[in-house]
Amino acid sequence: MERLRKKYIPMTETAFYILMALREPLHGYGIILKVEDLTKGRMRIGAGTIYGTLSKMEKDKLIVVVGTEDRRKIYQHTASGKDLLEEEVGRLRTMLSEYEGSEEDGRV
Amino acid sequence: MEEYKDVTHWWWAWNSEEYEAYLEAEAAAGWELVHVGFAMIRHRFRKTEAKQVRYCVDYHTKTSQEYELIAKDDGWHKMAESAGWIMWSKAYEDQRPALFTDRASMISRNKRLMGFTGMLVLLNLPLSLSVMYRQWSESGMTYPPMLFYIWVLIIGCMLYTIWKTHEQNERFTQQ
Repeated sequence: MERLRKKYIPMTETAFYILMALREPLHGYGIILKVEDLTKGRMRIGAGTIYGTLSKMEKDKLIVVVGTEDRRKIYQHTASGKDLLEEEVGRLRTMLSEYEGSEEDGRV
Repeated sequence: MEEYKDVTHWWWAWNSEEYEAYLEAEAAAGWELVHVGFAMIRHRFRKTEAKQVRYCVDYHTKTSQEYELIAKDDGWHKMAESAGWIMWSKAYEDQRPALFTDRASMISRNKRLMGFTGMLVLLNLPLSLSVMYRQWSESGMTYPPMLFYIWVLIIGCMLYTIWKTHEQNERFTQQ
């Protein structure tokens, strides 16, 4: 887990949204669409980027293939994928609250 | 009658963006890429109206049906595949599509290429050196055989590729 933490945290935006989308089972292209939807069109992950990232995450067991549909692999995140995502969310929360705290200090 | 042109265009692994831009510019000038030949340096273009087409190259050590399906679902067409390289194309109107949407995945692509090239060099060194040394010592020639110079050139190209690709990754990391 320590090795994975080093590799994935801080997390790239791509990895973050993939793990977020994979709270439910989806195939590769399904993830692209889901992330586009989650970010209201702000982010559309490229096919090369998503395939490369999914392969890496599958090897690191952050995600797992839970089935196939029409030859396409269906992925979902694993417990360690979920843990890393939550850890990253915690890190972002801390940063954000520190940022906001410093703004308040600035006003005093 | 349809009009075609055949063009030899060299490109380098560490400069694939320039290659992609070249193909896109040809399409915009009314020359659509219809076939990629020998080692992805021979190209056949067909005269058409000006088109907006994005071309992207990726590198993988093994082919994957999963990758092809994701790319096809996302509207990419496989133009060519050679020695681990795979070229995709996609026509577009407003938003210019991209195969890679973050630096991290481009860095990973370069690492795959460096890993494979490095492995070839390592596997090649002891074998070819011993074969050539034996040939040389048996022939009694003063200069090494011709094969040696060709071999130095090939190994040199591979090492240069690794070095330049590494440089590109350094640039990506700094951006």
